[in-house]
Amino acid sequence: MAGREPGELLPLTPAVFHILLALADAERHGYGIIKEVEGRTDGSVRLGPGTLYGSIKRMLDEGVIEESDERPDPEADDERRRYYRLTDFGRRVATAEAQRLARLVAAARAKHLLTRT
Amino acid sequence: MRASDGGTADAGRAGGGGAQLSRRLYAILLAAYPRAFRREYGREMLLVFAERCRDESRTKGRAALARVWRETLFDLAHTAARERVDAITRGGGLMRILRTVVLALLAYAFALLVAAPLYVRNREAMPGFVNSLIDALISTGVLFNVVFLILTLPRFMEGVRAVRAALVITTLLIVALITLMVIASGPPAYPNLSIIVAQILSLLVWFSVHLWWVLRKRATGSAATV
Repeated sequence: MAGREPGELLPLTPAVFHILLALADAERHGYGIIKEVEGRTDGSVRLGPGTLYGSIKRMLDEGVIEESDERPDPEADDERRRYYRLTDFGRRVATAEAQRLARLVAAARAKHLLTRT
Repeated sequence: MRASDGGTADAGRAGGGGAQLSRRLYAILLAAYPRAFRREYGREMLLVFAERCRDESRTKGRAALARVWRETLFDLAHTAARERVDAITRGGGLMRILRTVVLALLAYAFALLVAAPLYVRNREAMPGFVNSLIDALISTGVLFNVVFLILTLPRFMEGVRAVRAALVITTLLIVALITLMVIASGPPAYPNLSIIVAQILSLLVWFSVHLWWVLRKRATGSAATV
């Protein structure tokens, strides 16, 4: 996605941002993404298969994630799975969205809607 | 770095009877998504769903499957609609539909403005069967084309399959219409046999025309969808 600015894709939908967060530290397959999001949010966010793969389709189109070329060891994992990872552009998009949300949180804090914990 | 939660030979089979049945049902429900989307992601969606059913039923018992189903049906209802709309509006799909509809309307307008008055003026001089055949060709043609458009434009079906389905649906519609007319006003004054033969011939004509068109498109390497 040469020449594109991360800000063009903002704001992201919650599902897309959760998927970007799940892929920020590791390549994952679909169910791995679901489990990571569920674990990180204490079960409050449970992505359904349609939401997950609809988001993945659009994220692949936008070039924020890509399919991993490496196939897993069939002994250790199901070879039918596809693994996904962040692209450099995707990482910049995730960072830009995190900064946008941080600014919002800072504004909420300045209005005394949040207390610092 | 790659994260893995361990392998699954077949999550559906590993989760017991409830999970297996759920997997089969979800495989059927995946038909709600557009064909291209299913082709690309259907297998993985099924795998993800089966793994979820297996994990939930193992850790929380079979009752947890009900919650998985509730969430999955909600997910399916709004994402399938979104993907359908996306499939229609993407890549000029909407323009293709509008162009086809406008061309069809122009063709019907031409038939009504030019051909119909000529036919009506000369109708009395024509033999009875020719009249029945022309009536049948017009009515069957309108029905067949509308059914075919409904099946193929949103890409519910493609190619020869769509032509066959259009033949079956149009035949059923015509049989239903004739039955209703006979029930409402009794048998027509002119011979029934000529009407029936004319309807069958016109159905075969429209079926052949569409089949020829679809096979020709396939042979010349055009888009599979017509």
